[in-house]
Amino acid sequence: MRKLKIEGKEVQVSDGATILDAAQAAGVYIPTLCHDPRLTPYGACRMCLTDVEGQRKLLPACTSPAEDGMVVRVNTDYIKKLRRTVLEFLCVHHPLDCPVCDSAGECSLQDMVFQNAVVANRFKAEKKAYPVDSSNPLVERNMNRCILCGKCVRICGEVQGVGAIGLVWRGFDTEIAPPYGRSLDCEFCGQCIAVCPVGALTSKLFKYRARSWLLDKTPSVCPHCSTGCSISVESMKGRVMRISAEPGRGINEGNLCPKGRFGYEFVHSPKRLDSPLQRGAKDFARIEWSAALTKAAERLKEIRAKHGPASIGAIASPRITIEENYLLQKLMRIGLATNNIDSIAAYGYRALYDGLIPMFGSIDGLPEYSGISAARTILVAGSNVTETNPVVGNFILKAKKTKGARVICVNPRGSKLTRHANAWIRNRPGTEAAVLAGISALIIRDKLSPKLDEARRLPGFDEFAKSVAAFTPEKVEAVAGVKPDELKGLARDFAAGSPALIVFTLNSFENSKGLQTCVAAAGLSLITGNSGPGRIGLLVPGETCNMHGMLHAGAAPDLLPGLSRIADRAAREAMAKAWGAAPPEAAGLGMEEMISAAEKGTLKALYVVGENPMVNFPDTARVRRALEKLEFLLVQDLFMTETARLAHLVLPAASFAEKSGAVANAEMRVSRFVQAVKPLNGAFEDWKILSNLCCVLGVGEGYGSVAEITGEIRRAVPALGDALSPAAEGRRLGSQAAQGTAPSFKALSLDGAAKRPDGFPFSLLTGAMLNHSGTVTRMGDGLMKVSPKAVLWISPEDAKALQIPDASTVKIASEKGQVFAEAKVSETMPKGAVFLPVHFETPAVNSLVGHSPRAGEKEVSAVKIEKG
Amino acid sequence: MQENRIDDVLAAFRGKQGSLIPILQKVQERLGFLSGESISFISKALRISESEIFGVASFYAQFRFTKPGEHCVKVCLGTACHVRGGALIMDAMERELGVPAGGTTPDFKFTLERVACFGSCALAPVIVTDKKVHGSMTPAKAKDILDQYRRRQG
Ligand code: SF4
Ligand code: SF4
Ligand code: SF4
Ligand code: FES
Repeated sequence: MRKLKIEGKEVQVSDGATILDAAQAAGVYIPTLCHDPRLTPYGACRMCLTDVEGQRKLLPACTSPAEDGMVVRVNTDYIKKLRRTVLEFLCVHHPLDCPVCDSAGECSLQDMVFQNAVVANRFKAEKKAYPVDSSNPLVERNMNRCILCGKCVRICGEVQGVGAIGLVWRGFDTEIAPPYGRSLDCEFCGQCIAVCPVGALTSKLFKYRARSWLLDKTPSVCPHCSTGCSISVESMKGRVMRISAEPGRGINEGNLCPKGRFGYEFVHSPKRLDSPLQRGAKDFARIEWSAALTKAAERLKEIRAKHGPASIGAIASPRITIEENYLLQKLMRIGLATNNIDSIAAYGYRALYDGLIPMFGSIDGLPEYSGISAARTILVAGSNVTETNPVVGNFILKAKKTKGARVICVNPRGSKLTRHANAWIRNRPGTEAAVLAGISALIIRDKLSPKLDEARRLPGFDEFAKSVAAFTPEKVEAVAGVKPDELKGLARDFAAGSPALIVFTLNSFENSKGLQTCVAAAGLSLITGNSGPGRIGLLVPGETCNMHGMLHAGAAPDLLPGLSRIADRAAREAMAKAWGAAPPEAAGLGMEEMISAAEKGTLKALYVVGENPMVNFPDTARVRRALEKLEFLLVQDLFMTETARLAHLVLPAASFAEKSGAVANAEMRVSRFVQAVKPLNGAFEDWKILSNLCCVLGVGEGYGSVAEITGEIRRAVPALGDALSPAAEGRRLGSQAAQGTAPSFKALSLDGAAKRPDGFPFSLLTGAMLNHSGTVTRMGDGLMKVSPKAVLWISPEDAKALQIPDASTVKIASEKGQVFAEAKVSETMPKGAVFLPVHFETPAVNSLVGHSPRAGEKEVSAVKIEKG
Repeated sequence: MQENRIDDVLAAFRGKQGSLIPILQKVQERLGFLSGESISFISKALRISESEIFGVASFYAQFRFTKPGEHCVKVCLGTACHVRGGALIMDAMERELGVPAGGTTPDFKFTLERVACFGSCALAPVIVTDKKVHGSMTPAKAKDILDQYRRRQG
């Protein structure tokens, strides 16, 4: 602890704090231009000079450590005069074009010139005359306004780990630019725009859109991935103008990724649906809302009467709120007497629940993000988190940089994370579970972990040990292509590096990891003492903002709200008490079963809310066959999606910015969408549509507000509802399950290498892209300019052997089907593997991918590649 | 591939701290300039971003980033040369070669550069072609020298 006095105020700060930190703690304002708490201090702008008693020179507050007994003054006449001089110097070159600068009103230079009353300038010199650079899709560079504070360069390098821009040339010519005068070609996270204190870097999407002081800021949460970044929706006259983040709020420390910062244009896309649409003989026709709701209810009732409740199903969405998912499952269970409700989670995230709940009793012990900074070792298995969950990626980079955490990647594909990792083990696609099993086997065989004895006492240890024992270093080499020495090093490092965190994704878009990866990771974590009672050492960020919330809301065939099993009689009775009617007893059909039933013709009606199975689900041809066979397909969405085009009735819904409600992120922390603008005329919030459907189907009297739904959830399922009340902001979801019981092991059920059909020599990996989120970000120009289409990533070796030049068209065929795509030759790909991202209608990646049974491990698709 | 031409340079410095500038110097010696390709290669080897390397390199006047011409023509604009008409000679050279100071002719025959004093002030104004110093220059004499080089190449 250091004790010092600033402007007469006593203040105590911890060791390592700067004078600036101390001043902030004391509530004393010191102006800064080059400082940001996320960045290494730079000391370039000289705005923060302070007078420390006994020191001959003035000290910059941002770089000088606070010391015991210091007496600091920050507002002496001399300092004020100096500040004015610094500002005068800055204004010598800076153009005073504030009237046309998008940063006016939030520009630090402008504010400081005003505060310090710099009305005239004693200095005159040449103004800079750089051409304004708008050659890239999103970031406008106006170097005439740059004050060389270096914040953009530091955030891009230090926080993003990208380093796309630098301070180049020298003296008067110094500017911020990509190397060699190239055009900016980077992640387009816009972090540099956000930290620029002036208008030198600005968003092209916001250009000349609004004066910053006229914007209304609504605190909300990002609707895209499950990281759960806090955002401000900045709107004017009912339109969302931009998205920003405040450093002090939420888990993201002011950081946002491209999806979060720029993926808002869809809200006001001209393609938004603004009326219910009914399929006619030829085309869709607009109908009134009241007619649409009556029609929907009638059709569902008719089908139920004729074919029974089991002939109706629903697909929920991890993009709509907890309250909305709750209403949907209630509508199905009570209004239509069926448990047939499932979601995209069936193809990915559900494996986490199925894998971990039997082992830990519940998943309440999943780590918070603080677990990343507490870890000494972070093992990232087969996942490009820096792309799927970019801000979680930032946390990992930060843990490495500031805490010295050892980051180990096991991944066939190279990425930003593998570039920064301490070690990168390049396994074959789809073999992460085998590698993890191999590590466990070595740790058990060679007694590498001091926690092993404790683990042995847990139930199921022997079965687990037996199930991984087959994965000897030799076998892992044969299956995964990982050298025995590498595996041994990995086992040693992981066992010795506690606390260790295993990070991986279980996205439905990915065809490489499933339940067994989850079981293997949890087993490894248990034998090394990184998981234990109430504590799970796995961080598994999901693909969408409300995965956990959706499942906790009971949007699953076998789960009730609060994660109670449908088979649990007491839980059913509790729900019956709250609902006035009991949910059916038998588990409903899961996603795969519903699609099969539709294909067979036994499922007649399907209600799809906020999901696009025609792009997002595996085996597109089969999904199409199933959907086309339905007697009644009801789709509720913002857009005429590929799925909505097959519907009989389409209901237009409202976006995250137009409604309120709770979502839960990857650490199960609850945040809220807060309505920033009114819904598009003709569209309604999902909860309002669901509430109305409940009414017409005789389930209650409807809900007047989200709070009424929350109130009902709190009464019915306190464990879930308590975390939802606005007063409990930032609480984590809990389940009704027992806490703190001793975990047990689950045996791995994995055989060696998958058999590969003849004639399909390549492994096709599928997954998400950095700049897209599901199919919704396709509706905004900005991100579409950055990533306009899905390309096939292929290694230089393979491209050469097949004579495929970069950017040429190739044909990709699997046993399921074939698609065409442009090739991108990239060193990130290993020989023998290709990668195709989802998100787009064409190439229809999922038409190449087979569906795998829900409980099983996924299989990487085998494909052949030819010149197109 | 340029990589093959500089990987021994990188190998020589492997594991040594603070070796960026010496590496850049060696690479420039080898290639005549710092190509984008070479910087991307160095970036991968040292795990430093290309823009950071470019930032460092562009801070120093000694590095060049475009392929130099076969011959380098340096016009001295140091004080002594300047007062004796160095600027006139620079003007003439720029017009003659059709490129500004720092530029290279499209046929990659000549690169024109300005320097601030060669230490040959007694001969001012001075130009230096490759390593040869020519004193008491006039625009006409300088042009003659260029012509000699042109003729030599046929
Ligand atoms: S947009 Fe992001 S990646 Fe690109 S230069 Fe700015 S900070 Fe770097
Ligand atoms: S562009 Fe902005 S953030 Fe970057 S150095 Fe210039 S003023 Fe600072
Ligand atoms: S990391 Fe995820 S939650 Fe955060 S801004 Fe990006 S998409 Fe949104
Ligand atoms: S904030 Fe301290 S020198 Fe810029």
